[in-house]
Amino acid sequence: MVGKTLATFTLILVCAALRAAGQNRPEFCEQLPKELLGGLQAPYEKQVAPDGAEYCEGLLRNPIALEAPTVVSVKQTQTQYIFNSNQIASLTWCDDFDKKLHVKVRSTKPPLFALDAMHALKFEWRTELIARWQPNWKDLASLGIRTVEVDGHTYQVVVPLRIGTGYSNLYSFIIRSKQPIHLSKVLIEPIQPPNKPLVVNISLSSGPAKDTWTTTIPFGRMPSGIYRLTFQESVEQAGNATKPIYLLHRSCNAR
Amino acid sequence: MQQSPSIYFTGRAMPGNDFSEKAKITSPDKTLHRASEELNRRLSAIADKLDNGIQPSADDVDELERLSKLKTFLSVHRAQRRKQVELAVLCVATVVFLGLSFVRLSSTAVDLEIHATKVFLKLDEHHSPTLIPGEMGQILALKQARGSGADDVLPPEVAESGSFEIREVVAAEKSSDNRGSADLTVRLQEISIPEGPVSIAVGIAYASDSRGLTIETAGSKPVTAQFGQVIAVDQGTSKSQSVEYAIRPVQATGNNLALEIFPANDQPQLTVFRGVQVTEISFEDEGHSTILGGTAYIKGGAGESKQLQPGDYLTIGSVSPMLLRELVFANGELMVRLSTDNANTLQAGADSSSNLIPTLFTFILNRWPTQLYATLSALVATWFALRRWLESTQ
Repeated sequence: MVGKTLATFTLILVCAALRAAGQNRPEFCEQLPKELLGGLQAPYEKQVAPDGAEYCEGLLRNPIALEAPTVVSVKQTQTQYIFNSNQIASLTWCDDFDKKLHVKVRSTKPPLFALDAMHALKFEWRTELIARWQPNWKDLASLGIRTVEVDGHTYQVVVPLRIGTGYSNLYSFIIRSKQPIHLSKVLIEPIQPPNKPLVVNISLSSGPAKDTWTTTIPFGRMPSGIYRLTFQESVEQAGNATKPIYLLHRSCNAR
Repeated sequence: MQQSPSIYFTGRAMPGNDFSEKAKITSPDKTLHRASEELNRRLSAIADKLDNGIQPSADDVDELERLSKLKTFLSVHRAQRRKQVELAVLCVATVVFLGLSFVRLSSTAVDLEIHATKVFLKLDEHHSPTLIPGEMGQILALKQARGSGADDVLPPEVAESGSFEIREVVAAEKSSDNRGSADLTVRLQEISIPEGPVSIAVGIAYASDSRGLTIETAGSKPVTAQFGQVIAVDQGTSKSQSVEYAIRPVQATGNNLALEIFPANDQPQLTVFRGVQVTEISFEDEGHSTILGGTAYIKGGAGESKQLQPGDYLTIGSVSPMLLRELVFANGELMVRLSTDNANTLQAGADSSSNLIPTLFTFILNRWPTQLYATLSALVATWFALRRWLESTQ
């Protein structure tokens, strides 16, 4: 009799656990059907951070769509960093401490590791998965996204991320394009505070994966604010340009 | 006394008996046949008597006369019956022919090649996100772009109440550097149409010195158009003054976005769509035809083509989505190439009343012409042979 009761109790617990595993992911995560993630060793799913917050992490399938030239990563420039397992890593950024940021990390090469979280000030998580699948920070594209309203218009601004503590106003960008492009300039338009636009010559180098390029832009002399950045070919060329991104630049002291 | 043939044969057709009923139905033919036999037999008997030098009796002659009259009467009756049968067969043949001539196929395959000033399209609900212009990665150089109905335009200062206008920059003067080779036209980088049902009207836009394209969209999801506007950026410092040109992206988004674009160069053609599934297509604008000319190639029927004149109306509907092979802007007009295998409505003409879906007769005539002619010839030959044979048996 006791055995039967125990077995029933165990069954209920297992069912509850399975039900919990099938729960919907948080809104900021990729809303992909489970069928698309079948067969992956560590499929993208809901996780719990050390502070109890929910986030999503795991592997995705490689996209097949052709994209227009797009900025896929904005980071603070820092030296090479390798994730080791059984540690707690932290992503930090320079922004208002009470503003929540959608942290979006994607690997630029297979396997397609993905992490999505929504946090203010910084995000900490266990490194088991990232250390196993994409341990090199250089190979990861990361965006910190939040919405800002300026003069009645809503902008999705990008905040440069870094791994660990510190701060650098030299920002590193990764651009992805399936078509060959020769971007040589960036148009910087101050949105807030409004000011005259500026054209800066850039130097592109090969990125961490095929079809990606990287460049760095110093923002040390720029006042804090929102800037619209468009990487482009010169007007003497075809006129290819990336989709514009809205960069939220703040000056912070090294923490 | 010998029974008369008529009494003899009528006596065999007993009512209430199956055999008798059958005999009743066929009795006139059988009676004629047996009367002929009896007449021949009597004639042979009289001939034998004459050969033997015996004169036929008056009864024999009377009998012969009666039989002859009976045969004549029955022959007339039979001829009338045959005429009735022939008339019925002719009626059936006429009805069949009229049916084949008036009843149309439920659907047909058709290819359209039409020049027009405006085309209304409804993209298939399940279409993938589509970019126009239709060539992937193609950037169009424009003299001018105008937009209206945008829910959002970035940067906001470009637009007013959802309307905007971007023009090619005119360089003030040539500088010492290679500014002369700079392309200062407006770039159309992409018009992105999301998934789901979208209605699009593509037409000709008119300006004082050129023609361009109008693209009007309406759908439940917003359409996004991205242009690159060349702007002069003052790079001056306190010591020197220099101007740098840059491409500023202008992005317009809206559920009911209307755009007018004017290509910068006299390009031979500009592809708007290529290989897109559409559920509806129309060539009427506010009750007027937009067709300038063209041809409808009807495959399912006579393999014939219908020439369309300027101002002709065309109505086409299809059971399944139609393939818009391409929609091209060339020489100041639109050219549409469309194919479908299942057009169930296809009307064209000055008042759109001429139904172009083939009739069954034209379908058979063009699908199996040799077999049709062979069958008709065989039927006519058989009919005449049958008549000759029937006449000879009397």
